[in-house]
Amino acid sequence: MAERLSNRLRELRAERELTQAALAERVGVSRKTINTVENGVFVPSALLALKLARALGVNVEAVFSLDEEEQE
Amino acid sequence: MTMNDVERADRMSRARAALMALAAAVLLINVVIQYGHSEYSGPGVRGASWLVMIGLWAFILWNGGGFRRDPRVCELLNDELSLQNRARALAAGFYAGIAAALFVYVLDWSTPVPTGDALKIVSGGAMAIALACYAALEWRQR
Repeated sequence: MAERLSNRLRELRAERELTQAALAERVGVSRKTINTVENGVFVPSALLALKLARALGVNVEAVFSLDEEEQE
Repeated sequence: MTMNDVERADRMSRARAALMALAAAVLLINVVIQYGHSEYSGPGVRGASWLVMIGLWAFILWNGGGFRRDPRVCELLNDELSLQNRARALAAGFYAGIAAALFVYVLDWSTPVPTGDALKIVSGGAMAIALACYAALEWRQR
């Protein structure tokens, strides 16, 4: 079993009608960072994960979760 | 931090990536066209200018482009993702330097490589790969 970090950042951001740039501004990171986190390219640090959750007004568990995927 | 800062940092980040890709190409071209010309690698102004250029690009790569005027934009430009990209680029440059050194070592068995040229191949190759890697990572993550 391999573990993968998945996130609902895009979904939660869309619910709040925030653009990537607007969320980036709130968190204090570049728009590119938000984009790469949403696409699962970049795994953020605990600090950034907490900042993202706080900017969206939710717990960090509501944004990030650990998925298990079958390995061949 | 304003929206304007985020957009400005976005544009500057793209410009930085383009500049680093260009620098990587220029470094590699210099290594190729100056190979075998001792005046470019010997002690003297031309030889020293190479060391200055490598040192300058190493400094630029290390500090993220030297954008220090606006601390808010600087913070956005050198955020967590950018620092990770930089670490990966430096690692790539380190391994490229080792590969270049091995290449020079093997090449020297058949064709003697002057010390100055060998140093240029190793330092230029390592720096060019580090810069190109950083540019590629930043560009791909747009």
